[in-house]
Amino acid sequence: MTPVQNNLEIVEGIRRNDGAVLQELYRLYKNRMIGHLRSWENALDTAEDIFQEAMVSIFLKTQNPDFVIHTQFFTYLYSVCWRIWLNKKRSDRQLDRVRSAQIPVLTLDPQAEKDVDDVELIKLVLEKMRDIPADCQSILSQFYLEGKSTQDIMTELNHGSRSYFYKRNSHCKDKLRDLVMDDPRFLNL
Amino acid sequence: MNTPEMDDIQDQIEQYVAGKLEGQALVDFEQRLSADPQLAQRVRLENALQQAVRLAPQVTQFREQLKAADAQLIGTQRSKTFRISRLSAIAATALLLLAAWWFFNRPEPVSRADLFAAHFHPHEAFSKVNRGGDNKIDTSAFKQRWDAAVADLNAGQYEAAIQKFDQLQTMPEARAYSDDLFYAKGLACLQAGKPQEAINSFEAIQTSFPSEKPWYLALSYYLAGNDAAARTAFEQIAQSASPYKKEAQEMLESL
Repeated sequence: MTPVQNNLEIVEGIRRNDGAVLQELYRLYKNRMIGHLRSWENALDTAEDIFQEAMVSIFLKTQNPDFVIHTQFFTYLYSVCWRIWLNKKRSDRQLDRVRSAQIPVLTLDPQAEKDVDDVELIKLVLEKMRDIPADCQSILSQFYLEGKSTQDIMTELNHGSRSYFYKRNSHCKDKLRDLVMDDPRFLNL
Repeated sequence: MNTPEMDDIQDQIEQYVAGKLEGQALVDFEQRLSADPQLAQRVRLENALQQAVRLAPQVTQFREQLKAADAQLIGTQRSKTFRISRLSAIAATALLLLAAWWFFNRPEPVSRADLFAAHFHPHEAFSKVNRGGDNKIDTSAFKQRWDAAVADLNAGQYEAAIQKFDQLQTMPEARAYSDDLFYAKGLACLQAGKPQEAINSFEAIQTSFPSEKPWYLALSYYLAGNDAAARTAFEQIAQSASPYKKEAQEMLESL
């Protein structure tokens, strides 16, 4: 018996980061989707990247407990990949080069396209988080993720001065915001 | 460098996104938010920032799982490819062994001479040379030469036998025994590897050897390489009531 029988199980498996479900999804859909992707984007590496980004987008959407998929999973995945590819073309200013041969052959799921756009900003922030200093990553992570008090974080990070910590925290957030807002993709999000 | 006012707005944005803004402050902020697209964009960014920070560790783990799933898929595909390669190698080896077995055990190609030999029975053929035991030639010179020629034939001295049969043809008695002479010489020619001479001898037979003449003539055509004539001759025999009917059918299958 496969670990994925329907969309609910797929969504739940992705939400839980269930390795068996992901392996089954890869087995069922990856090569098929890469085949479609390569009809739009010949480079295998790009096709692989888009497929992985599509899976991450779906993962981010599944973090909303109300998230459901109303079409066949492959149709949803196909639509997500299409939207990501199209957004990439737009950001690369190559939208006018999209050929008729690259028109999607499956009926797109409009929800999937909206879902991609919904999480694009979060993904951009995630990408930019890698570019901020390690102590900034730690401060932001503890502040938002672990809900620790300012005093706890100050103690843990050995910040003696409360005012310095506030400044540093503010600086980290500002730095991250600036990195996101300076990215040309931000204007389209 | 942010101004105090900017810091204050940023604090409000963070509190609003975190759900910590309450009362009149919340009402005022939402009114401003609906009228200020730039503020709305900053709220949206703050929302994304907070979600991203919260989800970052999970996304990192998720990406690791995706890599693992990909590696598993690639491993399965390689394993499948390896299995296919291994099966191909086994199949190729089996084919090679089969080919080798066939090569060393293949039936030898049947040569024309072999096939002829399989269907040419000298003793049976020669026995009919001596048919008759005709008293008329028992004491004559013709009889003596005849016996000598047949003795050569039976001894495998085919060239000598052919010469003797040719000499017998020149004797006056030969007229009465010409069919016997042509038949015997034809057999000697066949055995001597002279199929065309055998054909000439067999074709010269007038009335005797009604079953033997077509059969040995057909064999002679075959040995001479005249397959078309041989096939026609064998077909006629196969369709007749000849005692060589079965052998003619076998020859047709071999042709």
